Amino acid sequence: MFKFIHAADVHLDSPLRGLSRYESAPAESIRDACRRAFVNLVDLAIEEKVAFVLLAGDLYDGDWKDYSTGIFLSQQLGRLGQHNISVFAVAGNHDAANRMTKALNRPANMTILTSRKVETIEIEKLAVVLHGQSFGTQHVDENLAASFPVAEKEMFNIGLLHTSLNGREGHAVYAPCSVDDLRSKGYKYWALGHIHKQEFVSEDPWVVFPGCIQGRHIRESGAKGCVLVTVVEGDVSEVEKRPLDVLRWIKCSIDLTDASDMREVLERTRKSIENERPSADGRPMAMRIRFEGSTPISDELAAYPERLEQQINMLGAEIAGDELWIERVENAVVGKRDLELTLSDDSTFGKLLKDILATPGTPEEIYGLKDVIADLRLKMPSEAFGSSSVLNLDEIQTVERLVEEAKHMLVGRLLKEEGDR
Amino acid sequence: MRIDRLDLTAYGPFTDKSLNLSEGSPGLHLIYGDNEAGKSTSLRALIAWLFGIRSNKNDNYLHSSPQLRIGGKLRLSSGENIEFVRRKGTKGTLLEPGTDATLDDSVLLPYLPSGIDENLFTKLYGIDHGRLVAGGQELLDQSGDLGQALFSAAVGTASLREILSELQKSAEELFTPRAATKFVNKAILKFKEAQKLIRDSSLNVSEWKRLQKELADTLSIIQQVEDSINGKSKEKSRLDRLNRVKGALAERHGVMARIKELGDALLLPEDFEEKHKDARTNLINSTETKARAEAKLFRLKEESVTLNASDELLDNEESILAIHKELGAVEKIIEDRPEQDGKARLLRNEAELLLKGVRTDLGIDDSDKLRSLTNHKKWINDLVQKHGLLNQEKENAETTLCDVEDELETIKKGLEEQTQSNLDLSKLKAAVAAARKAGDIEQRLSDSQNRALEEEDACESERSRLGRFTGTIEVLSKIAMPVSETLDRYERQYDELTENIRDYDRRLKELKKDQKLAEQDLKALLLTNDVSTISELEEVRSVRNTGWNLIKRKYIEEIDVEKEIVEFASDSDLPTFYEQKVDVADNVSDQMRLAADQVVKRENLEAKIESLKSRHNDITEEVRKANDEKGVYQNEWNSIWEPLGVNPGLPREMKQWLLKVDKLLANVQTAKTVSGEVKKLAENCKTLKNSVSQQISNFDDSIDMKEMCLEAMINLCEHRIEQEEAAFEQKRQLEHSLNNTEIRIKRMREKLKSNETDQVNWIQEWGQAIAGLGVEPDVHPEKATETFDQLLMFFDKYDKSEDLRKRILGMDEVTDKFEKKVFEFADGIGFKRDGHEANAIAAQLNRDLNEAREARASLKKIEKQGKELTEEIEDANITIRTAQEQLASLRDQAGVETDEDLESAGENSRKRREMQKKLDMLEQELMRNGDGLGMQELEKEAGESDVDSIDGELEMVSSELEVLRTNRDTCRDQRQTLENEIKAKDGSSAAAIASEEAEQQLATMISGAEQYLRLQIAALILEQRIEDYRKKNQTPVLGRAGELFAKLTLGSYANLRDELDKDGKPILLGVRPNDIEVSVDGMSDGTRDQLFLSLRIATLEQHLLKGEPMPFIVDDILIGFDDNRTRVCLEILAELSVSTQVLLFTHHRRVLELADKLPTEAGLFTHELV
Repeated sequence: MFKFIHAADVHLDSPLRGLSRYESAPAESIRDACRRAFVNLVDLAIEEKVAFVLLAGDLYDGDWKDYSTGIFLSQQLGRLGQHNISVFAVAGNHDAANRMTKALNRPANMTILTSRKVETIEIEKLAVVLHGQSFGTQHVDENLAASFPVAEKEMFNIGLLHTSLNGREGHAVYAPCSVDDLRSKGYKYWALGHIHKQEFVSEDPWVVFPGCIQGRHIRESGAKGCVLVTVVEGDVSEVEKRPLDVLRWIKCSIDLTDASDMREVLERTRKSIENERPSADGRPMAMRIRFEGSTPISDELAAYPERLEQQINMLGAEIAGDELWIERVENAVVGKRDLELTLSDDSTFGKLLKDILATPGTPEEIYGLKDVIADLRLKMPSEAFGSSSVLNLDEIQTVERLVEEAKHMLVGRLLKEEGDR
Repeated sequence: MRIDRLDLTAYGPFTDKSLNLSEGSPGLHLIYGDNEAGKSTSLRALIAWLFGIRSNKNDNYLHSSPQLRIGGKLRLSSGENIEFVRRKGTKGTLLEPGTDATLDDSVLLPYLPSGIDENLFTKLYGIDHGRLVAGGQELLDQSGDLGQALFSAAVGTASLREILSELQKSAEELFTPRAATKFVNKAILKFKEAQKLIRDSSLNVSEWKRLQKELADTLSIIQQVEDSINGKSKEKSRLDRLNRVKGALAERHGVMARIKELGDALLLPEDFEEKHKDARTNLINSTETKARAEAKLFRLKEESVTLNASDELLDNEESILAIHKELGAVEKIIEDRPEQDGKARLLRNEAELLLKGVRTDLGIDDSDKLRSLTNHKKWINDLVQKHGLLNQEKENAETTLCDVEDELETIKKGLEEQTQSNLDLSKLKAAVAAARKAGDIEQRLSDSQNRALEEEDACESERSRLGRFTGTIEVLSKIAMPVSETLDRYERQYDELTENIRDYDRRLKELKKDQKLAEQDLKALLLTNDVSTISELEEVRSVRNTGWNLIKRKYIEEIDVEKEIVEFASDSDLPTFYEQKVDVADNVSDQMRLAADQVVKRENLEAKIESLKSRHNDITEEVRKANDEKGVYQNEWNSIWEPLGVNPGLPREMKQWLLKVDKLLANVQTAKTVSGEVKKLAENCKTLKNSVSQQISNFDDSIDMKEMCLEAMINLCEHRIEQEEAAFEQKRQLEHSLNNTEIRIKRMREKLKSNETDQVNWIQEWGQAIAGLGVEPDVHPEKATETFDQLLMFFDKYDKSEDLRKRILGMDEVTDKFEKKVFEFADGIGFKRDGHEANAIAAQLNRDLNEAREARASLKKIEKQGKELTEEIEDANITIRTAQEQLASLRDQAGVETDEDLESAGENSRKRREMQKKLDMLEQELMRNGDGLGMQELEKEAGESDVDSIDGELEMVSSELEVLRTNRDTCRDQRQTLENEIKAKDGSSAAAIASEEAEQQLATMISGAEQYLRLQIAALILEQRIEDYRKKNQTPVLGRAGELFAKLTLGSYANLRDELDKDGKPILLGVRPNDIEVSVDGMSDGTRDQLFLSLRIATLEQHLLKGEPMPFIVDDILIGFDDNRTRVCLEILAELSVSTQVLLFTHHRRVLELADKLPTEAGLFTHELV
């Protein structure tokens, strides 16, 4: 019997994205999250006395230039060497793009499989044969799996490959292949990488994406880690999911249906946050709060989004202190009654609200908006408007969403102003 | 929609209060109620009825929350209507009237479209004072921006500008393109800083390789330099060594030459010289010592012969010491004895004298007989004391007895002097109490009398002021005045008559005026056109017809009618005349046809004049009748009053007069009551006076009480009562004292008797106590005590003298015994006494013994010294012998014959040993400094080198070494720097952390920018909408608002106008009648309020043009308006009420008064909330 760990997509030192600063934000408790998650991986391997560790590509980001990261990686893998644990890795698309990979001062117990051809390594005492191939360049469009050899008999065959298989949402296509391609090789275990969400594609043979070891933004929510595989008498007997992340991303939807005042909004938020807390297992959390449902105070909520956000931030600090970072507060509530109907009245005020709500979401229709956006673009760095940013102004939907929010904010303020009188 | 009815069934202070608002078309309804009456509550109730009763209102203090009910009826302009009741609650609050069945909320939809909630309703269809003032202020704040002004008025809100500027301000706080401290700008800066930090702290691959290579290079350089240092160091240490050893080597050569010189000198033991010296010294010293000791021994022997130690004394040493010890005590006794003897004699003499004072019959030696008396000391003292006490007691008792007896006499006398009064106090007291109970009856009487007089005077003066009646009050009070109904009837009749007459007069005047006008019109008509009348036509026609008849009769019937013809046409022939008349008639007829209008008018006028005349006559007749009636009425009226002796005025005046009479009569009644009281009081007073004066006469009939007032009498009685009571009290106290005094006398007498018995007992006891004292039994106790004290003193002195005498005897005994002992001892040892006293002998013996003891000690010492000296001589002999033997042995060792040769042999041996030692030391030193090289190698190395050039070479090598070391240190520093640099970058997460910081700043910036965009977009949209509205509505609304504004400002302004300001923005201006423009900030607060109101109503009117109207609810906006403005405003609201129902809530009654005179088209209705 022996055990091994399969991990992938470490993306060491890749920063956490989308966490805007606010006063009570727990900046300290999330520092170095990626590295700490990686240390957890090494600790787990030592603790479980695994025979070897498989890393299925993307050790770090392609555009990351700090060699310190490579040194840190070597140091940590070197710790495994002290416990006679070997490390077998293939380069993924990110690694292939990075100069650091070739210069990496790899420790003696680490083997990076070549990119020139499929490399086969035999670990005699465990009766294990490992087949794998690194990416030589960032863009590998060919089916690498096709050239993997068929399984060696009487041995535990493992395939190590960075691939998007037949395509996965939100991930670029690399080294495409089908599950049948893999199955045809007769291996016992396919250790794949590239897809950040954990997925057991098949159990016979085992085809596994372990997912990334640390979520880096809200789209990578939930537990992240590696799989621990136990092999008994040449067959996989157990595949365990082991979380390694030190910060957990959580999407928290809060139903505000019929909430009648701010106090109740905060109360429901408090309850929801407290309900989510246990799922983080004591880790710090980065939480996106999304308000949904239909409530009579939708106008009030829409009127001052920044105040709402502040209140939620304060509430978060109060409930969970250093363990909670409110990533973003999304307000998707709708009015209790259909606003259009509400505005069927022909009064000037009714017409005003109706006209406001009827304003189209294109910059052309709002006089002066183009200049405002142009000023902002001139001053702010391009990263702010990039494709992964919530402020991707190149997409018409972004502007439309902002206009929609602005309209509700305006209506909310107009109605609230009246309510105050 | 309009409100037909509002039922305040149970709400706030209201119970079953209903307001009927159904009148008018649609009409202006004024709802009045002061604050307490619940104006605000009713307004709130109206809103609550329509939109639900809010849970936080405090309108449930009279009716509990579940009981709250508001009902009413709504009606659409189509006539469709609904009645419903609202209860408090969250769901199903609409009820059907009567059944209380729940109605679905949707039943209200046709009346209140679903969009209209409470908020929107009050905003769109309501205005109150606060909103009016806020609107005016808002106009000022936005500097008359026309778009905003119109919009604010249109939506009924005053806060658009606030919202807009808040949006803009908030946006600016987040971001401005050219700032650095705004939220987003700050995040941008920090993002850039973080990116720079990433670059700075990143370690790129080539940098890493460069560092590793540099480190390797540096390490190899260090290695080379260290090799060179090693070579040079070796050379340096060789030169150092030569430098160190060169001196020692030279010295070694010298020593080795000296050893050679000493050649074959015998090497004796190291201590040889010392031994030789010691032996010689010992020999000389011992010889000297021996000679000195022998001389000393001789002297000691001589000395011992002179010393004498007496054996007799020394043998009796102990006895002599004992005697000497006793001697001290004996000598003291000898010294003390004479003094003691004198003392004893003195005491005895004193005792003898004392005894003589007591008992002359007894000698001192018989005094013991008296000793038993001394035991009586306490007894006698007690008796003496008791004697004094008894005497004292007796004396006191006697004195007290005397005093008490005197007192008794005084009391008895006092009692005799007491007079007995036979006055019956109880009756007197009763009379006084009765009088007191009546209070200050005299004062009250006098007050009442005064009041009665005043009342009468007042009545009289009132009567004289009354007028219309000249009789007395008594007469007046008996007259039966007409009842008020009669007066009312006459008043009505009078009013009617007067009114009728006035009416007739007025109508007569009007008729005359009308008639005059008609006549004038007719005159004018006639003047302009000679219009014939129908009667003229008829006249000419009848003339024509007469003519025709005559012609017919004459020419057709051929009847003779000449006479009539002559009569008809006197001066012309008939046909001609007839023709003329036909023409005339036709003319008239034509004329009338042509001027038919004038004819009709004239006819009408004439008819009117006729009718007016006839009406004039009728009315004149009526007037006359009325005057007749009035005459009758006046007679009737007078006939009512004449019998009463009253001169009547108008019925209204008589009503007032009668009221006065009633008042007067009421006062008369009061006056009578007061007089009655006076009488009653006077009687009471008299009765009391009688009763009291009778009592007074009982004890003092000399007093004249006729002029005395009741108070004085009472005081007199009270004084008397006090006197009587005091006398009685005094007597009671005297009798009490008498009793006490008698008891005390009796007690004193008993005390004296017992004292006498005690005295007798004492005398007897006293006799026993002093028996034998040598005094008479009746001696005064003081004297007896004195004698007794003397006796005690005697015994004291006598006893002391006896004690002394016994001591002297003891002393004599001791001295005798001592003398005997000494003499016996002296004789025993053969000491010559030569007649000396025993004590002198004892002293001498002691001195002799001491001398003998000293001599014995000296002898012992001399003996010891002699022995020591003998031993010393023997020691010296031995030493001398040994020294001689040693010298002989040394001579053998050195191989010499004489003692003199011994010395040089020793010296040579010592020198040779010294040289050898020095050589060893030098070789050791060379070994030490020779870095482990052997002697021969050193000699060789030194032999090969040029000793003189060592220092120069050394200097050169040292400087070379220094350069090399410096070089090495530099390289090491370089290595350290590189290592540090590598270590710093080695796995450091600085760049990663900076990258995280950059991401956080990016996210911060993005969320700020999002909010910035939202705010900007909202502001842009709002601005756009405002501008749109202005463009669309400016003209009609502004025109109408200008009209309203002119009205509301009572013509102070003529119109409103829009102009562009310097920024090209349209602004609102007021226009004065003289065409002067006034900007909004140039207007007064009140004017601005009116401007807002004008705009508000103008926009509302605009809105009312389309769709179903909604009632306009106005809450006390007239607070700041004066009467004129209030009236104008009411007019405007009345005008508005043609288009929609207007409800005006007010708590100023003045508003109702002003509204009262208002002509309205739609109808004006007043409701009071009482």
